[in-house]
Amino acid sequence: MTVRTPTRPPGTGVLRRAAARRDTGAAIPRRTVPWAQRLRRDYPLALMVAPAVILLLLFVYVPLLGNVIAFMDYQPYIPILQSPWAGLSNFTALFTDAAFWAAVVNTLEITAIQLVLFFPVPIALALLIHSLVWPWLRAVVQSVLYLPHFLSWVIVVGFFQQSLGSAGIINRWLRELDIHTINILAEPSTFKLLLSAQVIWKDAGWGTIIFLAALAAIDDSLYEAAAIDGAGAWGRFWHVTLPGIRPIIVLLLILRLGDALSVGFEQIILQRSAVGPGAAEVLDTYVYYHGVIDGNWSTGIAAGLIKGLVGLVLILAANKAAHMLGEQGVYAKS
Amino acid sequence: MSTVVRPVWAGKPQPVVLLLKALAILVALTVVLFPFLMVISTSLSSAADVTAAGGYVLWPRSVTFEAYEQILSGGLVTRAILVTAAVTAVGTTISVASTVLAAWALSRPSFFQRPVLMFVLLTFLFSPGMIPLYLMVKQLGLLDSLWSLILPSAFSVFNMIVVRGFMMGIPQELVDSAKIDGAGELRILLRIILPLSRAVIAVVALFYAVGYWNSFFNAMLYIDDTSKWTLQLVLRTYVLQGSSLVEASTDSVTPPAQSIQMAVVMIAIIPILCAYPLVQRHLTKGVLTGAVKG
Amino acid sequence: MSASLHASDRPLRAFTRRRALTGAAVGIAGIAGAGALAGCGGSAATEEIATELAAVPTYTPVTGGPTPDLPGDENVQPVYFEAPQEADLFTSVTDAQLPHTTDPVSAFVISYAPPAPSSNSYLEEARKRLDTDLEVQIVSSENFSAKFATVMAGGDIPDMVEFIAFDMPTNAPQLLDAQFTDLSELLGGDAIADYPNLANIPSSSWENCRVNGRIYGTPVHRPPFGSILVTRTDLVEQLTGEAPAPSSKDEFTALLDAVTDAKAGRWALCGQTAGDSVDWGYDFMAAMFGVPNGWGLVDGKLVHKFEHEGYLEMASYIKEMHDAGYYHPDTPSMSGSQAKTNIANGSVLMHLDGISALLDTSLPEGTATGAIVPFAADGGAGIIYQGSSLFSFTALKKAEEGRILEQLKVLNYLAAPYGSEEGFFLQYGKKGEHFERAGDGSISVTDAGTAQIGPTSLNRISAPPQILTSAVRIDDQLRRSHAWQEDSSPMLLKSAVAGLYSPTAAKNSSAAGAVMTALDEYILGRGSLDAVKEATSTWTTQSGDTIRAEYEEQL
Repeated sequence: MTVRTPTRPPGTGVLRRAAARRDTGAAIPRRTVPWAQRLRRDYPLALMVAPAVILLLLFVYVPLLGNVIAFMDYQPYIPILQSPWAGLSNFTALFTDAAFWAAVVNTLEITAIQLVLFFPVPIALALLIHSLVWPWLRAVVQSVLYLPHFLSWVIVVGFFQQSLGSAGIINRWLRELDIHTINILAEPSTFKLLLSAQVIWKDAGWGTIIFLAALAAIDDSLYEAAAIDGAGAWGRFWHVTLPGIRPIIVLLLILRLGDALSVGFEQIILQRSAVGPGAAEVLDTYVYYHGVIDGNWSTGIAAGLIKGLVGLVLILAANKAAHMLGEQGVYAKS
Repeated sequence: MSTVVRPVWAGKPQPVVLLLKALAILVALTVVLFPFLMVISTSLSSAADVTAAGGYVLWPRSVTFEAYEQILSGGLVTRAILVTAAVTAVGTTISVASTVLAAWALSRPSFFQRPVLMFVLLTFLFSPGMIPLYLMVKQLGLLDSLWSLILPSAFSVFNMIVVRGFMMGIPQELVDSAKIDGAGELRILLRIILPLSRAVIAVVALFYAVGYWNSFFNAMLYIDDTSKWTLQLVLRTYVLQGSSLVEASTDSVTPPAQSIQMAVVMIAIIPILCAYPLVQRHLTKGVLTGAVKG
Repeated sequence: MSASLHASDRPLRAFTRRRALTGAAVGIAGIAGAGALAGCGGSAATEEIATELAAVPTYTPVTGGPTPDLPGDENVQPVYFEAPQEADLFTSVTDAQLPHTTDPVSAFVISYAPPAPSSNSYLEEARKRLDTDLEVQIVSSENFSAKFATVMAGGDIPDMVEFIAFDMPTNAPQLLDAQFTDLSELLGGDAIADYPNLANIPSSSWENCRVNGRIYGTPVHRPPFGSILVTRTDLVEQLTGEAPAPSSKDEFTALLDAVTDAKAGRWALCGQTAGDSVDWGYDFMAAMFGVPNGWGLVDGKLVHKFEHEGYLEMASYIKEMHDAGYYHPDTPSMSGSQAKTNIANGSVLMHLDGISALLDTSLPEGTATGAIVPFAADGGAGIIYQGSSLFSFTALKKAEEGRILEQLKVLNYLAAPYGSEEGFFLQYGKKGEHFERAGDGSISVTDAGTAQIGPTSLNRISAPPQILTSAVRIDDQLRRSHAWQEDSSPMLLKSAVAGLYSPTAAKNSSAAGAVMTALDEYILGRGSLDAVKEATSTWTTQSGDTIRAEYEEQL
């Protein structure tokens, strides 16, 4: 295979990319153009976005009206408007419950730990895979590492029990040697680390895919230009690779923050009884055990609204922060 | 293609780095493959062997395909594979099309860009309940129709935002020059943006396809006719016998053999494994350079 | 970064226990707006407590059947070692008792089996015999709650709907009152005589078809025994030289000690996870200490199990057993099916399970299971909690009376007893197609039979009283189960509030969950017994007293 020659005119270096990242919205003056003219100008774009808007209207916004039960003392199976209104009592009930706040704290702790321990792993793995020069090795590594994503949590937790549980492989061995056994799965103090380890095992490989796409989108001529400028391996990584994938890293980080109050419900609920709610009660499990399971659907919906609002605030704040650091973020700068 | 493709500008890495890399890959592969070996071995073992081993078998003492035969007999699973493949193909096409169109339209300046972006983003944060969604599907007359497996989940905001993020990174002057040549938005999207976004479109197509392939909740809610059930829904019925165990005082349902559960895992994964290389092709370095004329 | 999640897939969770089932599929994404668009047309929520209870149907056993090999009664299941000969079958449904419906009848039922094939000759034959176009909507157990909620909300309620006894929908009384037929007048007392096969179902089952005082369905019967302590009798005998028959706490402890050998990977006991907490075998242990079955009457006053002095004794005893290492150490995270695997491979010798576990034919050959006959801690007479005696009941959607009577005939037919022609067909299907009969009289179900009979779930709509029998001969297992039932039957203890209704109790409370959590923390060494006491007294003030008052109104 021959090495590609540059097909771009000179001057399309690193700088150009930075220029391309500028906010496109700022390019066109807005308020001066009258409505009809704007409509005439933008209707092709409007048609393009129409299918998505229709789908979201039908399958998200209209059904979302049902969330009004967050403000009701909702009785299932009877027409919704026959349930009595409850004002904000579903919310105040949550806010005045110490267990709710304990669950929120646990959730945020787990999110923070996963941001530190889990989030960088797919990036590192993607860089590693990307740097492999043998195509077959890349293919093998990639297709093996993304496999665990397709196992359900029941099975993943089962694996961990089989190997690390009290009667698992490791402890069986320790017992035979008359060494004190350790049950990592029932240890509240390290439970959050255990969760992260499981998430890394299950989803790190799958998470690489998006970063691999970002790496693939980096123009080879940039590396070339950097090399001509005398950049070494580290320099090329710092000045080409990193800027190339930084926007997507920032994007995913912001989206993850929007989901900050959700952490693996199924994963945790499968293991919660072993360590107790002190370590393992998160917002979703709290809502499940204090609302949904008791048929108290209003509580669940109210908590969902709280999660959405917190997510919205976090996304907007993170987006703002990203803008300050010169990143595009999710949402364009105004 | 076993030749080493190292770009000219990249020098030969240091031996230490190579060693560390090899080590990292070896560890990662082992940690993942070991449990998968257990899945495969268990799926090929007899019930007695599995019970004796306590749930998972590391290496089958004798190989039997009983579990697979039991699942595949009766034709339900094969029928479900066909249905699911069709839903996945049609659904992925619709999803990718609506996502790419929306992503492009929302990456372009327009009078509705900001409000519609907000409209879309909010659906990422707030999701409707199951029952209102069911009522909507019912109102639209989609119950017991394969469209109910596609339309309610056809558009993913996450995927759209990711695609849009990539499109925002495409050099503006490429678009500008096309504009000057008189190209419309759709033409620019098809001729310039799509070839440049192959990698990310391949990725979201994979996300969507896997989503459709693995989906069962929609089918469970909206489809009564078992001949239209998706693969995962049918497979789950083999797994769940006894797993969602009945209260001890009434029925003690015998759990299905672990080997069946593991065979179910394999049957669901194998098609994905086969389809993955299609996506992988687009993740190779340097697709861009070849696709764009300078 | 699970990017591809379809929002609607998120709610589904696979769990292992019934608590998880309740609304699990519904999950955190939430359910909202039942009837939001399609008004159900029911009346508003009523929380009135009926103080008068409708009479249960008079129990009239069917007499035409074969004589059992081992006799039964209202509590003990009769044993039939082998299936009856076709020539000996009797007719349990006269032509006048056949439904002969004109319009189709739809049914909504649970299933634990893979779906039935679409070409279903068993269902076809059943329709022909019933002269009814029966449409069965079969919902797999995992998704039952979610599907139930949507179907109720969607407005098109099927004619016959199964209500699962251990997974009753919240505000079931209001739902039943609004949408389903009150059958009290049609079935209560001697009115049941029109439906002899339904009259053949014991009263204890019917009592639990009564919701807020009225009868709303026909039961799918189960034996009255609650949980039993399933034991690997073969291994215990091997290790101790005798059959396990402890008669006091001390003897039981000695037994646990004798059979536990952690180094060999063998433990006497295991519990299993039950939703938000661990079930350490509570029902067996609590009964040992004389704790009431839910609620008990002490000097004319209702006392809840949490308030009984035996409850804390039980907690201390379980902790003692846990600390001594008699429980399998993975108990806090063990699923029900893992527990069964551990019993099967001998790494655990005793586990609390349902009574049908004794007939488990999937156990490795040569293993023998039995159950410990209950005893009291001090060596006195033991007790065993009486369960609800039913798996589910089938309620009928409101309709004109003629249609309801037709449907009751369908239910009567499907409850055809053992030994009747109708019952034989429902159990085995058609000869040559669904089963074959060997020379020795044993019945082997064909592949078509396996694929059609169980999955069609007709026995979930209505069924005769469960008896002990097996298509393949397992005489010893049947004998052991029967013997245990005869020994334990006198020890059955009903809840003092069986059949009564308390809206507060139906709502469940997180205070009760807090007690279970406190118990776990105490047993696992993370909390104190005082915390358990505190949790129980919180429960009493938060909901216990209200529930007590509601029940006492009806006593």
